[in-house]
Amino acid sequence: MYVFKPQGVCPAEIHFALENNAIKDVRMVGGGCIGNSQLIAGLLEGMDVDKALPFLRGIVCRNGTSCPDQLGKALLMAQNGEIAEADPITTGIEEAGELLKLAVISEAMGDSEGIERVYALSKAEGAQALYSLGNLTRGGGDGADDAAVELAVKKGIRVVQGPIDRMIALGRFGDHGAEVSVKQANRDRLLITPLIRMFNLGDRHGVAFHGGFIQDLPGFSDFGPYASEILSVCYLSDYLRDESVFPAMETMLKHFSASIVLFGTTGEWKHVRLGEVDMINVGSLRSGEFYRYALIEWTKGGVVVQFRSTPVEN
Amino acid sequence: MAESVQALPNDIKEIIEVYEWDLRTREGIQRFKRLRAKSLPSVALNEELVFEAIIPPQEELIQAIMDRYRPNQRS
Repeated sequence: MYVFKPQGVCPAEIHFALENNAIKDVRMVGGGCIGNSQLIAGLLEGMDVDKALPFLRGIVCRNGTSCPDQLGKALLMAQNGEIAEADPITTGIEEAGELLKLAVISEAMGDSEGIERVYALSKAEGAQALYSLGNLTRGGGDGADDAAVELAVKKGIRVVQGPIDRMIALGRFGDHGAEVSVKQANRDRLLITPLIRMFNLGDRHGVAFHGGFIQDLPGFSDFGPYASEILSVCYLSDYLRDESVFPAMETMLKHFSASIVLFGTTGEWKHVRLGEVDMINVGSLRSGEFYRYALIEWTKGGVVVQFRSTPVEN
Repeated sequence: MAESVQALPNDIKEIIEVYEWDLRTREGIQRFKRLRAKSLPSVALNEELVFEAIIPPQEELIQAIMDRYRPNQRS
């Protein structure tokens, strides 16, 4: 799929796919004339790009261009390799079964001992699942990443991809594309790990992701699943650091699909409740001489969030 | 907000250019931050945040536009 940002027209994005130079799945996203868009998509479905281009280019609607004109431009750029085909943003399947209490870690960085400790502690405290919000691995090349990935599989930890995990999975860790020493099987496991994971906690719907690196991936759409949550939390509020924009965030809540938002980019620990939405920043698993994690529990009175720590030396 | 701008008299609409930004998009957020806005809806005139968290009465909006209008300079 290609995601193209047009200029001078109503839709914010144009999505399409190419298959053997044939046009597929055209969508005008974020504005524009819905009926006309569907007509364009229907007429172009399966048509060869070279056959379609003369019909598209040069049509003017506003600002010297139009949706068909911009689509034509995008098709040409795709043909010429000037825009990259994007992998879709992967969202995990919503886990079955009712959760009432869960534990969350982030930035585990290959620390299997810490993961094991938090898994045991949180289980003893009644947590039914442990989530890892990205960067399970650190690219150390000492076997720690393999151990962490295998531990996550063995314990059924619900993992989302962080930027380090993704680079390792794609074999591009390090600025110079240095070879990754993680086993191929574990890289494959990381590769199929979703970027976004959904869950239900009691009667609340939640979403878990690492952070803003998702919005920089070519397949990210401002109008995709949970994009409002990701953009509001990561970009608009700078990971909840800029409290001055919270009034604007409250206005954006009506676009949220989730009422619990878990993310783990900054290493900071913070819980903010705006309206009916709980936004929780989970910091790094290891902080100095402590392992830290979040316990999140559904109660009839609302979601209770506790940040726990335990000494590394125990 | 856009509706209140659309409802402006034609002689006012002729001297302004209207841009609407959507806070659901990265472009809209970037614009919002550049203007140092905090709330919605917000109205900026000539890159200056003039109305925030309010849809201004038409008279106030017209007055604010006219205060900044310089003939021979569309902005």
